[in-house]
Amino acid sequence: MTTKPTIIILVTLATFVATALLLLWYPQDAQCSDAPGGSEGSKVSEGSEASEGAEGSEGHLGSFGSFDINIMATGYAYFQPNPKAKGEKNLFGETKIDLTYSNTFRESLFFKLSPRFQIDTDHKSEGAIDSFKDNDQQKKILDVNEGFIEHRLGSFDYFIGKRILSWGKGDNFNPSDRVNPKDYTDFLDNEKTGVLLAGFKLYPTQNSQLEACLTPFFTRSRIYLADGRWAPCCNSQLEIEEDIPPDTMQYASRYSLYLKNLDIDLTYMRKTEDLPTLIAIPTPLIVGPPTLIEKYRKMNLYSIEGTTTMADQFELHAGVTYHDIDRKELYGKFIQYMLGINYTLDRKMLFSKSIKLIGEYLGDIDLEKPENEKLVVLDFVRIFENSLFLKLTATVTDFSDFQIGNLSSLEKAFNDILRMEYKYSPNDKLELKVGSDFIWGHGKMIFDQFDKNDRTWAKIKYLF
Amino acid sequence: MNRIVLLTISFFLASVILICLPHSASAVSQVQGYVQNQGQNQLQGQQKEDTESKDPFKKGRSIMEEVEKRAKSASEHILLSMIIRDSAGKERKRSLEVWNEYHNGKRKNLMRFTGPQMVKNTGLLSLEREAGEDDQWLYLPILRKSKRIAAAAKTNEFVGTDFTFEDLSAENIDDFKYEFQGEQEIGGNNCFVVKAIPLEGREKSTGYKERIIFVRKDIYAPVEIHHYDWDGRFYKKWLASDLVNVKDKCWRANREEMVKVIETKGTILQVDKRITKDTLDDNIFTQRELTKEY
Repeated sequence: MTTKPTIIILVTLATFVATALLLLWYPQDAQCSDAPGGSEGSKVSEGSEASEGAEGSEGHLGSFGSFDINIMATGYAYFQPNPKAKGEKNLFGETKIDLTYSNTFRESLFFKLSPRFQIDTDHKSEGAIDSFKDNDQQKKILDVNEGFIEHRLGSFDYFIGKRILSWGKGDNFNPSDRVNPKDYTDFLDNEKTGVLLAGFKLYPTQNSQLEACLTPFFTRSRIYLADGRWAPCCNSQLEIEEDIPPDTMQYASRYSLYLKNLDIDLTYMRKTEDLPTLIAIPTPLIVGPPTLIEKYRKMNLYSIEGTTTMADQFELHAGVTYHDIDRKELYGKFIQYMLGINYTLDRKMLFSKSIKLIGEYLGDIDLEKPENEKLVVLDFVRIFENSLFLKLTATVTDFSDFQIGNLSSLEKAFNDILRMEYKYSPNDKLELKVGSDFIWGHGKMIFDQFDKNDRTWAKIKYLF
Repeated sequence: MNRIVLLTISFFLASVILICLPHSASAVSQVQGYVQNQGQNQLQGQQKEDTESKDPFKKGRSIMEEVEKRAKSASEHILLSMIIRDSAGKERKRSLEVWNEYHNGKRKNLMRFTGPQMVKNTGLLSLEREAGEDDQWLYLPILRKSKRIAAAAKTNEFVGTDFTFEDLSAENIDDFKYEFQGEQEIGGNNCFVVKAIPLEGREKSTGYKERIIFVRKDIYAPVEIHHYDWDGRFYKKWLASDLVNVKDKCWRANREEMVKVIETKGTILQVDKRITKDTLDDNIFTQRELTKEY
């Protein structure tokens, strides 16, 4: 480890210990079942039959806290073999066990630790936790998904630890939701990866908040660039080199405003893009395949997003994100814009009790073409440019629903991903999902790379 | 000397009389005016009552105005248990924490599930706007962010229960016309029977073609509501029991049940603990509290 990360870790631990010690010595605050503040003249009454509700959780100093276990098992059956997927069979299974421990001390200090255990049939996971960075190609069998503390002080919160944040107003496309990288070992069932963060939230008024965080380490999104069903390009004979900028600390901030019938987010980030741009460098003298460089570009990201409702039926959201990339060579500045709409039809239709429709479009505009545009093999940030996402969710019974979603490229016809799924929860502990994914692609688009990955799948989730 | 004293006293008395006389006259006229006004008011009140009693819509409206006025007079923080019973008789249990605040006639509400794990920390924040529509946000822990929802989404059922968002929100009486339909005894109490129909142009803000509301005459608290869907079918009813006087003239139910008549299933809300306050801290009804997971 370098000196900087060591200092950060030591400061984090010291802060946690100091905070815990300070709280131990403070007089105990009022117990939580009374709301904070409020005027005099309160009256407490018990319900006449205090029935046994389901277990909630509220940890206090000295109490055990809350301990949850989720077990998720998924099985995939691919309809055809994939020549890129050497060693991978048509049947794939994985199991993840999430253990989550959380506790609250004196109602203002929250602690959460969520280790994950995961195994699979294709050995995509190996090893155990070894650093805060998570830059290995393979997932860890035992890893920490999240582990952080958050302290609330008046109108100011601060947090430190490995955490997952969700920003952005979109349902599927979120150009400003870039604090955390993602694990794309399964491109369709991708997940966010927790990163070490130190940050704060400030609440200047009741309807606004300012959030900011620092990420000291660079963690890239996990993508199998070669040799895998979900490798979006390349084969293993090509040499792929990494090119990660040395200074990779990331800063992100967001100001949110909640007005009457309008929410606005303003976001700024200074970051190293966690998705690579693949550049092909020709070998000048030797006849052979080019060398691919996996470049992670540094940039400023500016975003404005909003959401509103209209005519009592529609929720509308839109956003514009400007990517101000540092180096002109091989990169070009561009804008991504997102438009989305949600519509809920609460009427009995066919087999369903209610239907919800989501539509989203992601477009982009080049402000500056890269000088050596021809060297760019693939830009992962822009693989879904000019795409339309549609999803229908039909509530069949109180505890089951059917979804069908389609992602289409409008650049070229017949580049689509279609997913259908049925979800059923027979009780509060068990959730079952079955579904199928169909992919059409041609014309050297990303969909083309996954054309042979049509599959059906089943997922079971059990909560303790 | 005596004459001077007598003259002085006379002068003094005359002055007093002269000064007081106009005020006396004014006071008399004021009293007379007051008596007249009272008489007129009584007459007008009587006329109004007569008019209302003849006009079922005006009477219905005035009943619901009184219901709303009493309901919005007390803020509270409640811990609830929820039991969802399906048509096969199987039950699922939930626990919730709810904050309700009434300020200047506007309602603020924060509702959060505290258990079981599948729905834990799911929350709903509602802020009543001047124009009669609520600003509402739904927080889903799996998404880790809150999402604004449209008013029509209020007609959706809330997280697998038989209560819709609309059922759990404050009624906006300006969206409906109310017709007094008579009186009926419910559970030993005399009740007004009021029919509620959405006004033209407001149909999309409600999931019901009409509702029949039974309001206790003595305390102006609804105790039963029959809901009719857009096909005109009587398909669910809301029942309130174990009413308690939380403050002044405000009565609330410790137990509410929503029963789907056709499907024979229902949801019970049982108050485990109720803390009534004059006001709650406005900082509760914020995104910060909605997205809090502890």
